[in-house]
Amino acid sequence: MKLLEVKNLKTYFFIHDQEIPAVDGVDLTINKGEVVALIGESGSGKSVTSMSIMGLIDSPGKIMEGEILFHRNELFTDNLLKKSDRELQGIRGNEISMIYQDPITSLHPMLKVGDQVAEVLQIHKKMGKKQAKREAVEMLKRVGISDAEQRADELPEKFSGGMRQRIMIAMAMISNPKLLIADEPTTALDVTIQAEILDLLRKMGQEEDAAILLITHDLGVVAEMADRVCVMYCGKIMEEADAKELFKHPKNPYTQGLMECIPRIDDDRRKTLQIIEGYVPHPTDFPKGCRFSTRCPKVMDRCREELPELIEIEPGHKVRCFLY
Amino acid sequence: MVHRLKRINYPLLVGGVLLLFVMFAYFFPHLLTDMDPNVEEAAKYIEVRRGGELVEEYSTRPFPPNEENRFGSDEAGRDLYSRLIYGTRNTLRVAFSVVLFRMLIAMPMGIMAGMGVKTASIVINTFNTLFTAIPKLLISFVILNVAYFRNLEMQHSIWAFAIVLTVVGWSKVAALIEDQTSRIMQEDFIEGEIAAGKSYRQIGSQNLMPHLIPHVVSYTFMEIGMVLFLLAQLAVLTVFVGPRRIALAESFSAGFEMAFEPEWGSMLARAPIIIRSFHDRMWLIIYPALTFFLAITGFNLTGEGLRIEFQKRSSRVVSFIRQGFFFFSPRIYIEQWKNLKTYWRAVGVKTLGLVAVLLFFFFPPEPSMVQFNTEKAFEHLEVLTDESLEGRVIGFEGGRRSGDYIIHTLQDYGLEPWQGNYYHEFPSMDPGNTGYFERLVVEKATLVLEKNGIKETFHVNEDFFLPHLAKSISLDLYEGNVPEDGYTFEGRTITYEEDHIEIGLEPHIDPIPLIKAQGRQEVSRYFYVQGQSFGGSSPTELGFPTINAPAGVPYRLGIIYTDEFDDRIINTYSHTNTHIIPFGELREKLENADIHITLHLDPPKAPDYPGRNIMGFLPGRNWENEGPRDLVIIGAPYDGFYTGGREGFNPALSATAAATSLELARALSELDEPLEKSIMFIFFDGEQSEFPFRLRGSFQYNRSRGRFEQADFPYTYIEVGYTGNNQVNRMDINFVNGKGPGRESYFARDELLKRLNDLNVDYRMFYDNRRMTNYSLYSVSINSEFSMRFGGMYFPFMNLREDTIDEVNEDYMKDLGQIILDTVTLNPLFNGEGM
Amino acid sequence: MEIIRVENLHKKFTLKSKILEIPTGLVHAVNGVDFSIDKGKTLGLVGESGSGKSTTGRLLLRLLQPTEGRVYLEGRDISEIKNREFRKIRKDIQMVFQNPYAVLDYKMTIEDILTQPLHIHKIVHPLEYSKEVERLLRIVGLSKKDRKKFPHEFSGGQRQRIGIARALSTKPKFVVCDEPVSALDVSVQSQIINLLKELQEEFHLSYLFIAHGLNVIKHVSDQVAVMYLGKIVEKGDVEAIFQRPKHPYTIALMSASPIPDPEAKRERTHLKKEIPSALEIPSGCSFHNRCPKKMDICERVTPKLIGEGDYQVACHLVEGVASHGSSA
Repeated sequence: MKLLEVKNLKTYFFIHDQEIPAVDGVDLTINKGEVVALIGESGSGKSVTSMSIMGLIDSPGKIMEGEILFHRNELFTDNLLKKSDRELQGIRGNEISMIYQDPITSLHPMLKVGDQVAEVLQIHKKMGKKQAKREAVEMLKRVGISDAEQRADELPEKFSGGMRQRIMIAMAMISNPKLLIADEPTTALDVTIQAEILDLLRKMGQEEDAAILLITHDLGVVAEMADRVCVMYCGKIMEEADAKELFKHPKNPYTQGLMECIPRIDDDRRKTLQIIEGYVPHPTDFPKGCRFSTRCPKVMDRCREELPELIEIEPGHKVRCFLY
Repeated sequence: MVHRLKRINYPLLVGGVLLLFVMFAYFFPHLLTDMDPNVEEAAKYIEVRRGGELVEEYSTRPFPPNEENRFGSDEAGRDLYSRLIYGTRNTLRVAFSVVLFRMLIAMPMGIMAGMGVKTASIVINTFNTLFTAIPKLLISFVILNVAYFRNLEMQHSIWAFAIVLTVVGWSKVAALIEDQTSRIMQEDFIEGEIAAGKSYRQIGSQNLMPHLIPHVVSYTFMEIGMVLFLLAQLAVLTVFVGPRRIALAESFSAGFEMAFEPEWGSMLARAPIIIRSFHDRMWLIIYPALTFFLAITGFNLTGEGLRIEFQKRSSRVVSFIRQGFFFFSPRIYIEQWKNLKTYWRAVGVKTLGLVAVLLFFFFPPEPSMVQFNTEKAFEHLEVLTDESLEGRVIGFEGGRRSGDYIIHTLQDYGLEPWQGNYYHEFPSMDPGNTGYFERLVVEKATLVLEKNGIKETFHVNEDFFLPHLAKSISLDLYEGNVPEDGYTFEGRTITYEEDHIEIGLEPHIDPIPLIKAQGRQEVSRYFYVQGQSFGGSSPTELGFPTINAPAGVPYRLGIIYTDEFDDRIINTYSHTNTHIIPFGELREKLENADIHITLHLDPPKAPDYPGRNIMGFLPGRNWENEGPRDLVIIGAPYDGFYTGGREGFNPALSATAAATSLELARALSELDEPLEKSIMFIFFDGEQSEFPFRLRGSFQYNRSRGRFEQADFPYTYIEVGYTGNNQVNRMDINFVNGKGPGRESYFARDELLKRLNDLNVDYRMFYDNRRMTNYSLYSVSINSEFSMRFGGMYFPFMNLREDTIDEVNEDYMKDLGQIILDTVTLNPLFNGEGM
Repeated sequence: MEIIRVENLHKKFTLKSKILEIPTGLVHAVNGVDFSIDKGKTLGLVGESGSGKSTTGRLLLRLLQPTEGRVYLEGRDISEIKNREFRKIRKDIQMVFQNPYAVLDYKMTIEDILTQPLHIHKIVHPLEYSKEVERLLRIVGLSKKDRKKFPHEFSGGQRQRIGIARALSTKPKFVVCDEPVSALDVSVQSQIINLLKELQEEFHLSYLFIAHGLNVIKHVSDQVAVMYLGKIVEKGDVEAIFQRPKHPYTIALMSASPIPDPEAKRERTHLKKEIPSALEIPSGCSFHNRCPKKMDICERVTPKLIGEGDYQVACHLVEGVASHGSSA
């Protein structure tokens, strides 16, 4: 059942007289309880997409068009773009939560962690202080903070990066959201911790029946977590498929290139790495036609002139490429 | 469109416009106003708007804003607007100097501190703490208020301010630089530079500076703003740059210090007083304050705007500068010379550039249009100091002949007579009301001493001087009643315990008992000898005659015992009584008692001729014009002291002015093309007279019908002064404003200063300095636009034995002559080319 | 032939309080590290945060001063050389930094950035600077038209190329690569890795390659050293380490590395707790509080790095096989 539908979202930025199409016509569907991964490099627009969903786009950015339909239950559907700021406040942190890449700056340095988690309940569920605190401590236990009762009274600086991320997850999940947006949640963490956090996320998602929109650039993370994957490049979705299908049969040359050029731990070390030629173009400098045309090994003349559409070539597998 | 507006750097724009105005006033003040900032007007008719209509009123200074004085005038009647405009340069010079000095100290200290030198950091902190506790304003005020500083000339005053204000204020901006430096040093790329192998010094110059410069530029501008602010504050406390003079008690508040040079601060100095009492004089404060405000805002905004600008883009300017270092490196230049074949283009360009730079710096100043020939001047000097002229005394043979010589010389040079005459005569004798201090010539007088049957004869000018002759004698002369055999005085010396010797003698009267002097009776102590008042007690003075003689005994002869005049020429003047000054042997002999003295004067000579002012005219191109024609008057005294009979004396200095002026006449007459303005040469007779002024040629000129009037001949007056001797190195220049409108004298002076520098002349300049203004300068300047005297008006060694033609300073005369020539020919305000 | 040899390298940081600068704690970032690198070879140094790998790299370049230990460059002891002398050695030891934008002076053009090392170390005659800059740009795959541009006008990958060009400008013998691709886009990382390998072959460079990702390490290294909390816990030939890792930490690290294949087998070793703060390094074996195979001895005694030939491990398990239960 559909939870969130993003239709033709266009978010542009206006800097120094230039128009930057950060998100340029993105369609995305997240079903209930699903883990959807949005993968892309710098400038792909993946973060901006999530910020747009949360309504956190401010000048110099502007949402130009599109719809974000949030099916909060069988009866009600809201277009988030049409909501006022106040209404969005009620949704943010409540029904749609977000965790970020860098927990150091996302937690208030002067408030106790227990209080910060409890605050969510106080604001969104109108719970009393004591009860909120109790539930916060419970949540902290669930996310794996040992001695949660004592540690709930400590300041964030006393926790390591992985711990802080766990606290963030606690804050995000305590309101029982329907959708958790995780924006590069493990990029700043050590590899050994990363695995733990990913496991935790998956567990929480299942326990709370929350869908997860996972934003990352790491294919390994995607392979571990995702049910479905969207590949973004320069503001557009290049390919969308089930995770297994995508890794086995990537269709878009960009996806193919990505998969081939990443060094793998189970590779033969002597082999020279595959590369994708060229560089990710600057947002002010997007090529005419297909955005990947400057680097595509299979580029045709047509690709440089026209922009291909996103077509469903197989059920559940969409590609944007003239090869198809 | 909105975005475009957003991109405009507003601080820079607004600040830049303000600064443009300010700097325009700095460089081209004369384009913004044609009024002279120094000319004082006491009262005049002004046109003011009252109720929408232009009304003419009579007003005394300070004038309110009117049609002529846009901003009104200050309390001395000087136009406020032009003072503010011309004052820009002076005020900003102070501000720039202060900020320059501050930066010179703050930059190295700040950079060192930011890069880790602990000592520098401590020093900065100490200064900062110190001056947080002690208000900068107070300290600056106290120090700069000391009398020494208050009386400095403009240049030195600026230095003093710069130093004091730097010491109190450098640490603040040093702390800013320290902060910025340490911030830059903490950036990641510094690590990369260290890894590349740079030393801290190299990092400092190559990496730090491009990052620091934008900040420093911004700090500099803001510092200028702050210093201006400080200057304004100090000004209100009456501390400002530049020399002052006491304003005289005339029609405005008396006895306060007024600035001579235009400068913003000085105009605020009266603010506290003005505010309190004169509500209707607000313009005196508002306009200077407004000017300060605009300038400060301009600098602050520009500083802010520049900071924004520099941080915006990647600066190609910086890379350009770096490339510039490579381009200008001498080592590279030499390398390229070695490989001339490959690099001939680069070498060519650089060499051309080098030559251009050298030319610019060593570019000779504009050459003089005409050269002053010192040799020719000395030829005139030889003639004028010939012994036969006996010192060129006014009215006597020598004086007459020297006048003739001058006339003939002028004729030879082709100068024209004025109104048909080359000279204008005036009486050379005029006892007037008082009959004092007229000059007389006594060619022969003898003093015979007789004791115990032995007679000794002494002669005037050889053994004694005759500084004073009784007024009755000059009256006789004037009335033509001089006895044929002259005058005889007889008497006897008496010695007293106190070594007083007095003689009481009378012509034609029997010897009378001597007047006993009871000690010294000091009644009148002033005698004028040679124009110098001679008085005061000196141990060598003995035998002062008393004026109050016993009733019925008019006292007629006195003897002055002093050796001060042994090596000098003194002329004879009329006085209440007759005095002699004995020299050497005679002096000794007179110290004995019981000597019979007989003084015989041959009839003093009356001048045979009247005094003569000699004139020669050089018409300029404007002579044919209608209406008032501009004129330059060059004046010089040509008379001297009587030298007859005194051996070994031939003073030359008193003739130098005339000699110089004759050479000027020659040089100017030989120009290929006449100048725009016409030139009038006047040689004044009788200038050696002290009193009465009536006998001075300049006085006579002033009351004559031939005097030049502003209405017909607006003129500037240049007086040729005396040349110094070989001990004098600095030429005195006196600058006097006339009582006329004084068009552009300020600018003329600027040009003059420039030329003096070009010619490398060592000078001392005086402005409106009464003490240094002699009578002729004063009297002729009254009707002039403005006047100047080049050279001395008097030297203490004039008419001394050492005053000979060999001692005349040739270089001094050359400078004197040349600067006058250049002023007349090159200075736009003189040669009539105008501005 | 040995290019670099490091013996018993230590680096201690004293943390000081802000006021009065009283020492409040000691961080033993590098705790007795030994290794050597042969000419033309790459040693991969891998570890997570707090392992001390970056610090080690900086110590070699003397961007930080070692508290103890010896460093030999081509057999010559450079540990005690004064800073002024050392500046001359810098041309032989260069570094490629992680974040190329932060490391390049953004107010200098590429030309300036590349010319300055040439000037400092007098690599070529001043009149040849321009040509040399062109050559360097060409080597790293940039065009000579780029020389007048500023760093921010380039993409991340290009900037890293510039950083590499700068490191190479002094014709170094040995280059420390400190996480050179971590900050780059995924699609660009492989370009840079390939470039580094090419350059190594062409110029006979030796690398100390520091990274936290095992996948990258595997591709570039000949030898691998695994660091944990300031110590090397396992060191050896790259194939050996990857195929048969012995130290529990190495094993955990490998299992935690994500594989971009949803169907790959994953045997996750779960490590208890988190990496301890560097201020509170556990006693004995610093890994003991997380180790799934911890023994009593691990708490008390610090294991030494022992092994045959090039391959060494610091773990009681490994030695304990031989001497069961006894303290070393």
